[in-house]
Amino acid sequence: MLRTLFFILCLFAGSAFAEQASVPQGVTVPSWKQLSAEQQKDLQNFSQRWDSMPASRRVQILERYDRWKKLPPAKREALREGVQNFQEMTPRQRQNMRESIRYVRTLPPEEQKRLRHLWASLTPEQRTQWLEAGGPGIAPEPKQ
Amino acid sequence: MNSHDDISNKSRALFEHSVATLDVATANRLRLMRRDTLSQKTPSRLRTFLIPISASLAIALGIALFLPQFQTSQAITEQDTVYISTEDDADADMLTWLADAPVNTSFNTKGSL
Repeated sequence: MLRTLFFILCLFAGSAFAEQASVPQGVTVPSWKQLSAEQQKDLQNFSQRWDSMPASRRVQILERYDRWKKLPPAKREALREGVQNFQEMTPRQRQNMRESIRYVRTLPPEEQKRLRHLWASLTPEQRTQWLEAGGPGIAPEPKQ
Repeated sequence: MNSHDDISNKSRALFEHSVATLDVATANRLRLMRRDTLSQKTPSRLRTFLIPISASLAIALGIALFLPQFQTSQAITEQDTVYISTEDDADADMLTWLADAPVNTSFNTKGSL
């Protein structure tokens, strides 16, 4: 539990400069009591601070939650493993991964797709080496 | 006294007369039939409801056993919460990259932060 909270805080800190999602006009942001029983159960970790969060942040969490809910079980499981993998990385690897993906997102969609495909085609060891060197978009691509 | 009572009284009188004038053989036959009927065990209420109650219990037990498993697979985990709480789309992207293709962390010390 503490570890989860720690990682959540890390993600908050890591994205301190991230743009806040804006709340579209006409959208009502629910208070904790207005969430459904299922939402309250799933979002239990936010219960204490939900009502004091900015509306944009609540919208963002609900959007991400909806996206998660729509994932098929296999994708959900893969995502859990992805999070687990991230949690097992060294701080340096995490930092490199975060910076790398931020940079990749600034590239044209085709290039993003190519890099992701390349990333997926490598072995876990090759990915680790690439990441240690800076990661996709930052370090030279490994030779396959 | 109305006509309905007349009919009723006549019918009762006719019945009493026919019973009183039953021959011995018929009376014995009827007595034996009555005794047979009374000696047969009627199914108890419990037995009547035993099958549906058992079936209901079996179904309830099945649900109790399998529903938690189903709910567990659907239940939110720590990792799900981490994903849901990502503030930045880039972080969410990063997690999906790792979901599809993880890095080798076997040499890292887990929880080294």
